[in-house]
Amino acid sequence: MIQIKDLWYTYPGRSEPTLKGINLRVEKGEFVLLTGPTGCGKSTLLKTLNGIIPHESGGTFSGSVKVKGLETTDSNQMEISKEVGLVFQNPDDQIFSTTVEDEVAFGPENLCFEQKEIDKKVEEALQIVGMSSHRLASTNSLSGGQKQRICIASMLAMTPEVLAMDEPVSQMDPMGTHDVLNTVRELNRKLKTTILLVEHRLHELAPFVDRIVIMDDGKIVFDQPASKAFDHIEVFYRLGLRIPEPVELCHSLGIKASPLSVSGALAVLNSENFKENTRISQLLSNPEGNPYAKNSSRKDSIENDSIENNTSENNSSIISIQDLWSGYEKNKMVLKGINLEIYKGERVAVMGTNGSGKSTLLLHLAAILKPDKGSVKVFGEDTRSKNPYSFAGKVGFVFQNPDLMLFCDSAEEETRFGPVQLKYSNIEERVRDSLEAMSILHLKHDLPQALSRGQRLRTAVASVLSINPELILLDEPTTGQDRVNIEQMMDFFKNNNSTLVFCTHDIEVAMSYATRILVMNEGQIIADGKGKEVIKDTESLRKASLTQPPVVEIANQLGVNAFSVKELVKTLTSRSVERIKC
Amino acid sequence: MIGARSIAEPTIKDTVIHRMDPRAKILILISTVFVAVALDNQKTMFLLFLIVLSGFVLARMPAIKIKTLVLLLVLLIWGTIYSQALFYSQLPRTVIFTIINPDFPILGWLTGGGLFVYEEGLHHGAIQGLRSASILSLGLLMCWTTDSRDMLNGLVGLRVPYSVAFMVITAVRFLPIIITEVTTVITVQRLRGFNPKKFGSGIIKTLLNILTPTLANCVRRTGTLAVSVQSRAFRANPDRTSLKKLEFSNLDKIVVAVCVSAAIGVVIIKLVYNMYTSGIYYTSGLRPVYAIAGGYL
Repeated sequence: MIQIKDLWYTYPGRSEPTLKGINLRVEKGEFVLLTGPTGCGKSTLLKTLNGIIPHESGGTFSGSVKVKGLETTDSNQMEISKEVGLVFQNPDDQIFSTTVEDEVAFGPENLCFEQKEIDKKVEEALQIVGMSSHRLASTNSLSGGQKQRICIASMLAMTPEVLAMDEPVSQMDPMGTHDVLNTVRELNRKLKTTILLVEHRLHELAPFVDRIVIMDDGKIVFDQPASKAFDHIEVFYRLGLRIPEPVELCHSLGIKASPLSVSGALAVLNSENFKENTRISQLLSNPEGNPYAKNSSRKDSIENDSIENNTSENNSSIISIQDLWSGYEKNKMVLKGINLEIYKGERVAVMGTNGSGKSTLLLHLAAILKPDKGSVKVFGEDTRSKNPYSFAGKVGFVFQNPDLMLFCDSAEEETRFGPVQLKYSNIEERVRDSLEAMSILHLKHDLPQALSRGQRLRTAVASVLSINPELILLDEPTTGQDRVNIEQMMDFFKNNNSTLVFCTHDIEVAMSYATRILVMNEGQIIADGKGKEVIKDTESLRKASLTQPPVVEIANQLGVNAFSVKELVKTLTSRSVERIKC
Repeated sequence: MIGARSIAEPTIKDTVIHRMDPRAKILILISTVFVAVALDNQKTMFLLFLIVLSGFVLARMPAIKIKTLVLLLVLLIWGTIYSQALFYSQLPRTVIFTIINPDFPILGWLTGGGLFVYEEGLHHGAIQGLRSASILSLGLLMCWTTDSRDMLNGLVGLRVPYSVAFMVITAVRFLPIIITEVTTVITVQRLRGFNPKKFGSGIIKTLLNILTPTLANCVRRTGTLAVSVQSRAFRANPDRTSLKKLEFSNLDKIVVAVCVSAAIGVVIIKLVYNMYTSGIYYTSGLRPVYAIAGGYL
């Protein structure tokens, strides 16, 4: 279906090629996951499939890309578009209709389907992505995740033979992701639709795909069936990619198996448990022999610290919210009676289903929105009588779209902007420290707008860090970021004891870095507590479209109290040792 | 942030104005433009303006949009009347107020013989102001009561090429988003200690700071949107079908017929009257028409 031969591509104005001799063959009906570190060329490769590169982009292109035997460079882009559906990363850049129905109908209308058929296709596509009830809704009233579903639906409505998706679920809640991926998988199986999907959330997607292709520095460095991919786990560690927890668990127990699901891991553990007793004990007494121990030292320390932090208490409240009601339309409240206290030094993860009000809550904490009812006090001051400028220097906000935060000519100037405006001292030191903390010191002279998405986000974070605000607000900071970037950024906040409130769908990041987790559903906080308490509350998690991390599920099934791979390994090993002693 | 956006976005309600076919709205707007340009009579112009404003009442526009409309109209009408009153150059003209006396040192010389408020200028300014206000109000009413896709279908229904209509509507569609982004950019900068209200060089700096991310985002979005619509077979076929079929209701037909007839009537009467006043053509049989044109139009 897709055949790429010796593909080289250099963007206009760049000297270094982004794609360096790509060779890839995808058969009809295959479901391929394309992953790799940020900026490795995955999205660029995707754009060659329907001729955007080189037809629209210009640049230097050599090699061959064939879709259904059609050479993309020789074919009309319109023709290829009928065969290849592309879903992009940022839904706001793709949606142009004001209603959901119109957006999804656009493709079938262009393909001249009859009115009845368009209606049917719209309904089916919306049903697939779980948005039937929003058919007549305004696209502007949707959350980021809901918009992503609409983008997928608008492609599904055209039933293309190849569906190429660039991080299509990056802003979706875990259950939504699971549902959509299940559906995409079903389409792939039933209609033999070829799927090529770019995503960082490898650990969540691996169970759905047939094949995993990894890119690094413009080249394909790994290409294996999903069932065998994690036999080469060192590649994933080396490239900073996230590994499914069941695989991580088995490898850290020294079991030579790579189950991608909880049930698979349980089956392996049940069969291997007794046989491997001796081996597990050996591994623990000799950690050098365990590849997992060598590669996950950072994560282990995070887990240890997290446990310590979870038990720390601090009584100085910096945010006090009483009965907060807020909405964008008078008769449609997004936040419904929120009561919340946030204390100095806390790292609070706000989780919940798409559209549950997480971002709206964050906007209230920065005094960007005013309550319709109730009160929000930040540093003891009622936000009703204040504007965001009143909290300049005290509150730092990193928006979901970092592009709106970058307006200077270089990353260095961007970072200097805040301290200069606020007339702080040690400006150069602040700038250097912030850039260093986000690992972009080497990019300090680069134009921020020209950096990769991950680098742009880190520049935006650095520009806030240089002010050293007392409260940092991050809206979905992990979206589109690889493991190394996420860990680097979150480690910094943790090591600096920053008071942090961040929205995320990533339960593993929340468990590792948050001292407290808030779970929201339909504008209300339905669970609030330490990570380990919240994660046990399966009913609240279900309501908020969240799922327990696989390792917690495995632990539950085994009747063990463990919340991380390390804890579970420790518990299982001590059990084995006890058995041996008996 | 949200306020700014809701000003620019249409408010979808179920009123007689909202239910009107977008083609009917476009035709009414075009007719009104012809009538407004043709009219010279203050009272009739004011009547036209009131008729247009009644549309806002019928459409039950939210307070934020009414406030915006009032602000725009006050600025437009007052600005036009004031400038015309000061700089009216036709003769005869009657001075009703002196702002700068011709003998006033330096300023009298600089203004080329003083600055006055002329009565005829006020009248002329009122007509010009009401003319612009009527067209602006009706344009806003149309944008605020019509979904952009309906507008697109309306334009296509009136034989505007689909690509052109799509470009126009997409540009309008993204206006609220750009407004939101501008407010977000300002907020971000304020949180980083920048005060955009500073005068002098501060304003230029503010504008540059706002323009850079907004334009960069626009360029990026435009590229992605272009690719996205193309990958959804945009212009893949010379024709296209539509999920929603536009239908003229009886009310639409009546209103359009009245507006188009009125526009044609007013334009013809004014043309005939102008031919008479400029000595090109006169016939006594058209006296009642001349009387109507001179007295009411």
